[in-house]
Amino acid sequence: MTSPEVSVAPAGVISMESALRVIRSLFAWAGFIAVYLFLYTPLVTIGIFAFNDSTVQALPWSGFTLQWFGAIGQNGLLFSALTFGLSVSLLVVAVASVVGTYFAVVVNSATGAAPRVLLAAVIIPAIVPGMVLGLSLAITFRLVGIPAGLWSIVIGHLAFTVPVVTLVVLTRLRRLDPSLTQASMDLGANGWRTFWHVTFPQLRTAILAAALLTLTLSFDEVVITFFLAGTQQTLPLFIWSQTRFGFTPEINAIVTIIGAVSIVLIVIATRVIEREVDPFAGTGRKRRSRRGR
Amino acid sequence: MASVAVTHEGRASFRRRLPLVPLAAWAALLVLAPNVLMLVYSLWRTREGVLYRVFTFDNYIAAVTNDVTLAILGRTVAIAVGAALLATAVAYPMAWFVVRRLSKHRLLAVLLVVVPLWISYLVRVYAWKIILGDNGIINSTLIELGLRDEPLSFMLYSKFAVFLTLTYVSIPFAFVASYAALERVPASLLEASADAGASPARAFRTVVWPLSRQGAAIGFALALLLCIGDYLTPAMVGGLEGTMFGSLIVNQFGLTNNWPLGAAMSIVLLLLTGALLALVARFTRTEGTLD
Repeated sequence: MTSPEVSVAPAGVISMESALRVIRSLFAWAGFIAVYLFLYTPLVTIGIFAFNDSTVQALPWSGFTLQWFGAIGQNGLLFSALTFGLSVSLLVVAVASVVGTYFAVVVNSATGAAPRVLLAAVIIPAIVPGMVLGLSLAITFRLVGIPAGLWSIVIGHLAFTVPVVTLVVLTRLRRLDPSLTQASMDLGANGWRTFWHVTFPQLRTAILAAALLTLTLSFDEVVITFFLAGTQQTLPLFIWSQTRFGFTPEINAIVTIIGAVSIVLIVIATRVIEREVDPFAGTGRKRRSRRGR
Repeated sequence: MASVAVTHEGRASFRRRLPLVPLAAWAALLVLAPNVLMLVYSLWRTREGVLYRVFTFDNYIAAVTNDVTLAILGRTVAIAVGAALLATAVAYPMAWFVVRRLSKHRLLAVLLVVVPLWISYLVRVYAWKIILGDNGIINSTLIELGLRDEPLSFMLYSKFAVFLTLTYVSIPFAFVASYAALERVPASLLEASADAGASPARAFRTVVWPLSRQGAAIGFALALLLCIGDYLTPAMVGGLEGTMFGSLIVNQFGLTNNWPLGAAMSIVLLLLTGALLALVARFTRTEGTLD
């Protein structure tokens, strides 16, 4: 740029600017990808070591094996923790779906300040740190005389999962068209019939999504469970005790399986929520009526 | 006659309120009662494992005057606020990147940030133990390559490990909240500000940030809630140096078996968390509305 001509200068500036823009964009992409690497490194690590033929959790790689997956079935404690944890979670899902939906419907249809205040109160256990909820419930159960075991854990999990179901279903309820309910009432259906035939079908996907969320929240819970469990451990409690005192590669194997199942569940749940697909509709009436329209 | 009308009306309103009874019962039994009982318990005392039902503030005094407890409380706040801030500082620009640069794969990008939340929390924390430990991936690689003779010992069982792990588990929460707010900033506003001659930096400062900082604040608050009351992370990767307040509370339940002190500490933690969240809410109100 020896020439002092005015027309040359802007061209130089523009190319500098575009070069800067390219560099900035490269940096942005690099940062963006770096975060994903950061997010997935731990998960991939666990997955890789589930197949590593060594009892030591360190590099170098000592060969591929499936023995840790086979060992899951032979580890009696692990297996009983798995089945106990599953039964806790299934009970929690069943009760939380019904109770949470009921609360959402009640809060949505009632007027005045009372339902809002009660809703705010019911949400508290989902927000406070797990150990605070766990300790407060442990104190209560001790004073009331509820023994530590299956039911104390189930009640503890219900305390923080019911509000989650309520909020998810309530969000859906508030988006529904009220004229459908009014039409149903005008046609002479009572409150229950209207709920069952008009409101509930529109809530089904929201309830399903909330149930899946509840399942993972409950199945994964450690701290509250720690306060409320008796001698029988749930799976996360078992993993917790194992990972603190030593290491068994079966843990990596079972965690990899659960991770894979969770991802399949989340994919189904997001598909259901995104597309409003009703997985129960199948080839039934609903599908046909949709095509007819 | 008038009284009959009143009772009729009263009965009708009672019937309307009847469906609320289970909700009220739930709130009373599972929220009010446990918290009141925890408060009562925090005012009792134990000595050598025996519970004395006498009212005393000793537990609170012990919780906030003990040097060790106070130091751990201060560390807990510092680590939790730091990790939540760093997570928000990483997640917010990332969410902005997703909103501005991606269109077809936007949902996939969001989903990929959220998926780790569905993998057990315990496992995600445990993974860092495998990565950071003396025999962990980083150290064994460094030694294998001859870059170091001994493992880097600061990485596991340290404040650093707790901070890193909490930042890691916080990023998805901070991301989701930031994304939800940024996605709603209309592109037309950005075009308008560019047409009016604002640089991208200025458009961000005067348009995007004021409309989305509440989302960033919600993300920060979620992350803070997660970090400040955590027990698993310090217990798994913190060692002695990384002990946090949550570990102290759990110890009162387990090892020390002093439930009243644990209850008092829980209430201190609740009050502190509430105060921090109130501060966050005060400084990040949205200017203007989007809808």
